Amino acid sequence: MAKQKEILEEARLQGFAQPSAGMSVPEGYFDAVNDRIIASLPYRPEAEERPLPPRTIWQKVRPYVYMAAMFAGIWLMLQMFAMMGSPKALTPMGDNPILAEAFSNDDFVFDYLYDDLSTYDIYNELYVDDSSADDGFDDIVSPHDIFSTQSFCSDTTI
Amino acid sequence: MADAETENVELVNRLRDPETVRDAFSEVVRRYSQQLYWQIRRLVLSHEDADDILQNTFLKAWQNIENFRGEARLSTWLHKIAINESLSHLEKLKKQELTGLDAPELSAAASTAGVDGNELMAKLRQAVQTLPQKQQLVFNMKYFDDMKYEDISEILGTSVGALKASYHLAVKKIEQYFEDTD
Repeated sequence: MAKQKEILEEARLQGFAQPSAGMSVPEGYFDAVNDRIIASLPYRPEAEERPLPPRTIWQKVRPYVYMAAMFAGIWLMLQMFAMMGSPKALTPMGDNPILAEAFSNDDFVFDYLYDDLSTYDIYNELYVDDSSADDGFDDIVSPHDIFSTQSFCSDTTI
Repeated sequence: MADAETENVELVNRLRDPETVRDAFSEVVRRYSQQLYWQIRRLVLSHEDADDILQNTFLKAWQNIENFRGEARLSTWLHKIAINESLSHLEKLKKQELTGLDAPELSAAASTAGVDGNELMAKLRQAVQTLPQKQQLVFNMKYFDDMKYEDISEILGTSVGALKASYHLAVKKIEQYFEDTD
């Protein structure tokens, strides 16, 4: 047993206690295998490229801010078009001081407005307003009758 | 020793820099390929298998290089990968053997794979092969690679005390093997 205990020491003395003890490789193997391994290493962008710097908060929110600004611009533009095209933009006639002054002037009304009225319109208005015989007519007559009378009168006048 | 440490720190720093990582890793390959090869070879015995596993080891290391934070030593990290790859390979061989697939016999590989040396060396090799896998690893690292228990502990994740006990047991078994076969 004592002899057996020395067996490992004996092997060590004989130079077997080394990594390559009792084994061999083809000549030039390590040079070749190193070159082969190095050549076979795939390209790895995640290890071989410098990572991009982290994005700032402004860079992150910038697209959203731009988009919000764009929508706000469109909304304002639509509001402006709506205001320009709306009938509310026109001043009511009653609020127009020039027209108010003109309508308050009887001469203007008679000369300018009533002058345009035809006899038919006047009679028609009287008829609609339920005018009575006091207005110069003995009976209520229709405009048709009036016109036929008129034509008779004119005929007789002639 | 201090120079080696400084050199190692410098190499790790270059591995962290995307511009120098490839060159630095090439240096890692040149620096560690031999010791990793022999470690793998002692486990799998066949040169062809050791060659494949060595390539896989470096490929895995390269694929995970950004995960290496330099907390452990570079050599420890590489040895861990090499051992895991070797053990996975042996497991695969065992499964193939069990399922009756066409796989090289482990024992045959042990006896014929480019083994040189005299009768003593051959017997020692056979004795080591009879050890359980964990004891083989511990014995190989201590006896053949002359590694410190602290380093083996880091690689295998086992306490120094447990490693000492394991090595002692391995030596006893080898001595017993020599006695039995004498």
